[in-house]
Amino acid sequence: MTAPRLTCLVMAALLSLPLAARAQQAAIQGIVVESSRGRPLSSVAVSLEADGRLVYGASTNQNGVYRIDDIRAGEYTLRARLVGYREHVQAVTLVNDKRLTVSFRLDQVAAVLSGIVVTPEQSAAVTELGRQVVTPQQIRAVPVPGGTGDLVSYLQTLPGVTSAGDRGGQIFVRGGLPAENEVLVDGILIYQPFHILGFYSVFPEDLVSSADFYAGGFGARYHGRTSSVLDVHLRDGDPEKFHATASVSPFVADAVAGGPMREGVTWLASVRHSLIQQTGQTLLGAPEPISFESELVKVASSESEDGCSVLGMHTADRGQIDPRLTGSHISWDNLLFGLKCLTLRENGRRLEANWSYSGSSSAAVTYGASNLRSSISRTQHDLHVNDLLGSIPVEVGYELYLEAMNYDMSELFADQPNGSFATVLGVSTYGEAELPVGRNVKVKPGVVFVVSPTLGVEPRLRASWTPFGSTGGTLQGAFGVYRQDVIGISDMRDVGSVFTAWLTPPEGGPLQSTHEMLGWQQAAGDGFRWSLEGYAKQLKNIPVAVWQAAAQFTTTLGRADGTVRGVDARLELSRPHFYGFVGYGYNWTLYRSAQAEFADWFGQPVQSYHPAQDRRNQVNALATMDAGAFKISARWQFGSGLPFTQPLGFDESFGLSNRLYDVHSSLGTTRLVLDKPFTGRLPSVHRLDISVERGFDLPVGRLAIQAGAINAYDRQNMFYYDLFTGHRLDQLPLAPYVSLTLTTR
Amino acid sequence: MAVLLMAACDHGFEPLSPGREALVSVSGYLDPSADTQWIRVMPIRPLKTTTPDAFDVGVTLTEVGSGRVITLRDSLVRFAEGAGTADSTTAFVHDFWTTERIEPGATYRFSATRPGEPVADAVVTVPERLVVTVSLHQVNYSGDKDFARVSGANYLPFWEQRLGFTDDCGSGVDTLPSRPARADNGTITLKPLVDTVSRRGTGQCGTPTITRRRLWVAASDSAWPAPDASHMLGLGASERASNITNAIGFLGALITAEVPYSSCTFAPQTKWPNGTSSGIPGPKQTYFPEWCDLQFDSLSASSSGRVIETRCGDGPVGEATVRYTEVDDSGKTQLVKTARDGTFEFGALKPGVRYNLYVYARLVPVYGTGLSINIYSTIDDTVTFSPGEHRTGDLDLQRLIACDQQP
Repeated sequence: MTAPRLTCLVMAALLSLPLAARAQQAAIQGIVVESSRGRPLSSVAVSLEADGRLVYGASTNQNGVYRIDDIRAGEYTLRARLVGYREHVQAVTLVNDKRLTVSFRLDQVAAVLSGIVVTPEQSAAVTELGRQVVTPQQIRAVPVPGGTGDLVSYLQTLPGVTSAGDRGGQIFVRGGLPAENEVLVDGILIYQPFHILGFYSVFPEDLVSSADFYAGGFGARYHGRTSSVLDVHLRDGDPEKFHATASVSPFVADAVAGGPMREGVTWLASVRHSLIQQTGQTLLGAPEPISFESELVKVASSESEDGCSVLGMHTADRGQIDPRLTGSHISWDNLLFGLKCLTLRENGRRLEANWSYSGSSSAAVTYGASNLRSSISRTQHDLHVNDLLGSIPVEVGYELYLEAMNYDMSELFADQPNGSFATVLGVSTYGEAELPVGRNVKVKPGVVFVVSPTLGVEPRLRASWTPFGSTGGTLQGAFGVYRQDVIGISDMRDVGSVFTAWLTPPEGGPLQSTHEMLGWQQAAGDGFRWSLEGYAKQLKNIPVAVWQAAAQFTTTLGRADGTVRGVDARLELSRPHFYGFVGYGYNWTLYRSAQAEFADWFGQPVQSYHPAQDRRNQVNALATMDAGAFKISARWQFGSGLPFTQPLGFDESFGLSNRLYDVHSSLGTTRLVLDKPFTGRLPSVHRLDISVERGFDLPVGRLAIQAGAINAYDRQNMFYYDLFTGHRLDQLPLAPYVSLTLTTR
Repeated sequence: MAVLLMAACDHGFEPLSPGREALVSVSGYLDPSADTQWIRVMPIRPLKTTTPDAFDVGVTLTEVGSGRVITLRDSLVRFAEGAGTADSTTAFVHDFWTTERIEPGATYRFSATRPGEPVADAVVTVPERLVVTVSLHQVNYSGDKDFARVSGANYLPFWEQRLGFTDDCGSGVDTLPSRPARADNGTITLKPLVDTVSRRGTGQCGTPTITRRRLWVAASDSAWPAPDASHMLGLGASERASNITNAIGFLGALITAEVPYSSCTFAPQTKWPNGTSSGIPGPKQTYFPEWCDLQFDSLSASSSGRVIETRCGDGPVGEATVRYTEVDDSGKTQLVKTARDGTFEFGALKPGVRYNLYVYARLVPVYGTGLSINIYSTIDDTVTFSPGEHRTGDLDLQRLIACDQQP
């Protein structure tokens, strides 16, 4: 039985469960949001207590909605807890046959990020299917050569997330391409959020309030990308006092500061700049000609019911992926502005409106000859309404955007015109509801109607079944159709190629992906939790670089369809002074592409191959513990080799198709003849990163000193292999570092 | 975890495909018109650089049918690329050769044999005989309606027009390459033939006059690499795009022909009308056929040479007219004007047909009179050619005025 059919059967079984007829007693429901920003808070533990004893409990879903049914009428104390927020306590009176709606805000506690504060509610193994809620505490648990953690380093510990190496700034999620990931920062799309050095993104730990990462099966609110969604919520400045953090390491220096601007208004500013270009020769024994920077300013107002925030962000990345190739370099920039306004009503209705601008440009010079450039900008307005229709949480919204693209990559893809310019008007609306089916089943159907640029309907469906109550495991399934009208093109023949140009699909319609997922999540006691997810995806109209028999830079753009299957498994242990996990990801990605040269060389016009991002096996292990005054962290990662196209070798060709050469009087053109696409695999990679940290209280604040090493056992992990020269470029060798982080009181 | 750690201890990285050893690289083609056949046979090497090492391979051509075996001899050829520059390199290649005759119409089995490796082999057939027919439009003679037909081969990977011309800057040849063509019902049609030339890169040479028209074709019985498959082949081969088993590259066989075509006209023709209302035939009607065909094949006769004047030592007579007219009712005429060096050529003369050869020089204007006179004699002769005959020689016109008198 195929995975899609199995998923459909399970879905059908869930939907066919009869609505449980039950005598309605009392019930309570509501939405919990963050105090300052109005952002819905998921995984908030909401309980009803009577006489000091817990009698009923539930946790909020991803929209911040909680609901408790079948409550005996009476007076209770409602208590809501979430790490990082002040506890909310409120007396409520429940009466029979009435559903009380109580929505409230939680105040964020000022950031104090030392220590292990990861809780089961926030752990990656107990969230919704395909979704991880990432907190600053989790980000900090992953060793990074800097004073603070970084969101992208944490993401790379997730089983379904693959990176090509420690440079390039690209991640692949469950067989998808980097340009198929949607990354939002406070609701604003950012095109290239990951820095050229793979440990870093534009999201250092100190800036992040939380992040929702959807590896697939995401709901109707998110559309326009086909692989994954990373929805990052930045924190606000401290509303009570000035607060700043500054850190420096041989790799990067950054500073974050914030505080009250006036009553009800806060500010937050951040600057980050790499130092590896200056320190690389000394630290690593070889030049590292790469640099990056990012700057951010956020001003937020917060009244009792309404609030708005303004965000501005700029990032820049420069450098050479291969330090030897002095004639080659790549660069990209992002510039973002956005206004977000939220309002929350007592009846649970929540409105969120965003106006934003996001621009990105990139350029590359390859081998000193080919100049590629691309720029894209997006001006957008979107509105989202969360409400309760009776006891049913619903969300509706719309999105309007204008996207303008300009690119020149004719030297890479000969069939693409020079200096192409295109605009796209996007209009879409969506709706989603969470329907209880019986006592232990929830079904969440949704749909996206895309009016422009191409008409389309994208159905979504999620369902969960908790057969043994809230303390037992949960079976979840998801299905969704996703389309992408603006695609990112890169030289997919080489996973290390990072230049991306944005354009509308040349032919064949939008990129499309169908997700089917099924998973089980379980708490096993004693702090152990585990999750297991299976997924299957069908891909259509994937842009691919056309295979050519002789290796050369210029090719043409083709299309492929694809199939992805995989399993993500994760086992976590969370104790008061220890947190650790082991994750395993299995991925099988297969493309099928019809190309004329396939017919010429292999007799069949359609060839199937595993593309460059097909990392078949991946293991991540993380352990962090408190040992007296020290915090010790270690992370080990293993990835099986990525596919590459093997060469047969060199010979000379004569271009006899163009001219009747005399083979004796001419050497011919030396060429590197390639075998079938992606039949070889690079060596597997593995690496151990460790860090030890200790804090010291100073009059001005707290100083944290961290010592660590990247690639602690100095494994030679291949990043890149130049087929022409036989030169291999490895990822970073053993890289010891010391970082200092000063946090004001 | 231990298993994973063991799995992580992988072995050395081998970037090259394991299938490389079993392959050789082959490039070349058999051409009966060439005095030496050259075929490049090389190992698929792991590095871009080459070495002058010996290549232990035996290369033969076996004529299928007769069983005649031709053993090709190895020659190590040295090429200096970028000589005199910092990037200069030296390349060594193995070219195998033979001076044995390659027969049109014969089929040959190519074999490259290495010890312990699979034999690379291919079978190629040389086309036997080409028939090229150039059809010149009688009404719009200088337009783009002229075309040519080639029969006797399945593929025509190369053909081009080579138009000789003179203008105010001198003489030249304009080569007009065209795209490959494939036979349809046994015939390859080439069109349009153009009849205009240009001197590239200059614009001050006046209007050129075409003095010579040639059509060059190279034909093959087997598929030839398609030009849009820029890396050798478009053969639909089963593996690695080669028509050679256990090899990459291409081995072809072709014959070439370069046919001169001149103007071609008919004398006015007459025919009975289709009929009248009374049923009584009316008078014959005069008409001109729409196309005048020039057919070339291995039996066609040809004629070339110069028009000269020897008695007074004038030498070559440019812009003289040389005309062959079939002595029959058709009056089919081929006509050329000589180039400045007096040369002319005909390639589609039918063997066994009586031709009237008529040669005359251009008239010379007499200064101050407004008149033109003929200062040379004419040649008026009847000739017949045998099959395949090529007749060459000078045609001598005598001056009709005194040698010391300037026209």
